[in-house]
Amino acid sequence: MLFQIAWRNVLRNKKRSLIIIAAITCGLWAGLVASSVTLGFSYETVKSALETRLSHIQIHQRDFSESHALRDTIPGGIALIERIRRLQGIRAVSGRLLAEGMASTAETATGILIAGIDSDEERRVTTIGQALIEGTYATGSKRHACVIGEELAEKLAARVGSKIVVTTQDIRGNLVGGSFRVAGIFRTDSTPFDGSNVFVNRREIARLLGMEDRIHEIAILLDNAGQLESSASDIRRLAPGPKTETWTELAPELRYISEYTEVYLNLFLYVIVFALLFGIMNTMLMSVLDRIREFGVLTAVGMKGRKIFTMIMLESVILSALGAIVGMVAGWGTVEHLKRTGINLATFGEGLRQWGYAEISYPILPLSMFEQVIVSIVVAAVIGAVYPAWKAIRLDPAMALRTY
Amino acid sequence: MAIIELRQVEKIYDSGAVPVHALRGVSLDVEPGEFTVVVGPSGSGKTTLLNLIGGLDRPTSGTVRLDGTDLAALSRSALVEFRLHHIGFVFQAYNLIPVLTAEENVEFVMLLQGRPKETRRKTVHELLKAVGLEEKMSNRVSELSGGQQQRVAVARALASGPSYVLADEPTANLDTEAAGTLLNIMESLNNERKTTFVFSTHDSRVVERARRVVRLVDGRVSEDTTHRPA
Repeated sequence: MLFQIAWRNVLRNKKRSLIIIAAITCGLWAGLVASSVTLGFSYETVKSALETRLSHIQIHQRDFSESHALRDTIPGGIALIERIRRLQGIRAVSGRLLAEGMASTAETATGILIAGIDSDEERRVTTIGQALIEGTYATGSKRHACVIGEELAEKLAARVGSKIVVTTQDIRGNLVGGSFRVAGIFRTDSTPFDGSNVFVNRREIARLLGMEDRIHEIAILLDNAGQLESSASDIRRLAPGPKTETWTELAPELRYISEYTEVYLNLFLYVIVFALLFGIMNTMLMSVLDRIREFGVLTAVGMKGRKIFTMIMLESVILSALGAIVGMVAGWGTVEHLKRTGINLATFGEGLRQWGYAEISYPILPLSMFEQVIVSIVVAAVIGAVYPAWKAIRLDPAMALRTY
Repeated sequence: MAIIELRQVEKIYDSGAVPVHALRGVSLDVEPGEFTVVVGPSGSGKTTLLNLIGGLDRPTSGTVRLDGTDLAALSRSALVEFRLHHIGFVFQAYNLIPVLTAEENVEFVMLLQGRPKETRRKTVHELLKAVGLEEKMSNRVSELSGGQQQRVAVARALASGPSYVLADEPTANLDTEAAGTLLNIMESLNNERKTTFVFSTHDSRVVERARRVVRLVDGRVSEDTTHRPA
C-alpha cells in the first residue's frame, strides 16, 4: 500500500515530477556519455601504445634501460624466445636488436632508432603491419628493405622504393653504414614514434653490427592482459638473469592514465549525482510543503512517523529511479551509436598524435558504471529525501490540520 | 464510565507575542453512545477542545482521560497508536487522501491496524453501504461531490472500530440536502451501532438534532444541556 500511495503521489504533480526526472535523465546521460568517451580515449591510448611499441611485457639485459649500449644484449636471447613461447598464456613473442643511428637521403639526415626484427614474429606482437599506409611490412622478403613511419618519410622526403642510408656504430665502435630501400610506410597514433623508428630485417642489421644471433629486447604479448603479473612472474622464474618488466613498469605514465581515468570518472559521476541530490531534495521538500495538511491527516488517523518517512523515501527513490533508468537507456543508446561511428578527434589530431593519443576514440561503457550510477542515485534519493521526510514526521498534527 | 473525561483543562498558546487562553478550566464527561455537539462563537475554544479529546494536542494543565487512558502518560508515538485504535475523525474539509479511491480511503486505517484482507474488504463494503456509496467504491475522491466525500470520511472514521468519532464542523462545506443526508447517516449509526459522536459546529441543523449541547464561551463551558431532538 505504501508503494502504491508513493507511486500515485509521484504521478500527482506530473509537471514537477517530469522536471526532476528530466534533470536526472540529462545529468546521468551527460555523465555516462562523457565518462564513456573519456574511458574509451584512455583505453585507445594505452592500447595503441601497447600494440605499437610496448606490448605487455619486455625483457632486457639489466643495464640496457640505462646504457642503451649495443653490448648489453640478453644472454641466450634467441633461445629464450622459444622457451617463453612454450609458457601458458603467451600469445606471441618477438626478439629485437636495437641501435641508434642516422638516416639520410639526398635531401636530409635525421637521428633514428633502428629496430632489427623478424617481421613474421613482430607482426604477431605489434600492429605496425596493420598501420601501413603504403607498401609492405615484410622486411625479410627483399634484401635491405626497411619500414619507416610517415613522419620520418616526410622528413627524409622518402617514398616506398626510395633508398635511405643508415649509419650507426657496430659492436666494436666502428662507424658502419648500409643502404636500405623503403618497403613500407606506417602511420600510428604517435608522431614521435613515426618520426624516429626504422624497422629492418634483424639478420641484416645484426651482420652490419657484428652481432649475429644477439638481441636487446624481447617483446611479449599475452592472451589475457589481466594475467600480466602472473605471466611476468612465470617469465622471471624462467629467466632470472635479465630484467623482466610489465608495461606498467615500462611506461608508468600510461598506467597513471589508465588508473587515474577511473578515479577521475568516479569523481565526475559523484559530482553530477551530488548536484542532482539538491534537485531531488528541492522537489521532495516542495512536495512535502504542499501536503502539510495531508500529513496532519495521516498522523491524526494513526499513521506512524516511520511509515510516513518510508513513504516519502519511496517517492524520492521512485522519482530518481525513473530518471536514472531513462538516463541510462539514453546514455547506453548514445554510446552504442558512437561505438559504431567512433569519435573523430581529427581537429586535434596532430596535437594528440604528438602525445601519442588516438585520433579516433571509441567510447566504452562498462557494466560497473551502470552499477555505480544505480547505487549512487539511490543513495542520493535517500539522502535527498531525509530532510523533507524528517520535516513531515515532525509536524504537529493539530497545527498541520489548520494549514491550507 | 465516561469515555471522555476532562478535568480542569487549560490550554494556553504562547507562540505569539501575547499568550492566548484557549481553554480555561474545562471539565467534561462524555458517556458511550452520546451524540454531543460543542457549540460556541469563533475563538471560543471548540477546535482546541476537539484537538484535546482527539489526542492531537496536549493540555497546558489539567487531565484528559480518553477511553480510560491518561493522555499525559503517552509518548508521541503511543499517542498515534492510540488514535489509530480509539478515535475516528471527520474533518470540515473532508481531508481524504486524494490519490486513493473511496474504498482505499476507508481501507487505509485498517491496513495501518494490520487487519487481514478479508476483514478489511468486508468492513469496507459494510461501511460504504451504510453511507450509501456502495456504487462509488472505486471512484477517486476527486470524482465525488463534497457530500459524498464527507460520507466517505464518516466511513473512514468508523473503519478502525473507534471508541468515539470526532467531527469538526462536518457540515460546514455542505449544502442543505447533503448535510441532511450526512446527519441522517450519523444519527442512524449512533442509534444502530451505538457509536459515540462528538461534533463541533456552528450549524443549527446539527444542533437541532443533538441530544447534548455543550456551549463554550471564552474557553469556558457556559452551558451543558441534554435533550431529545425535535
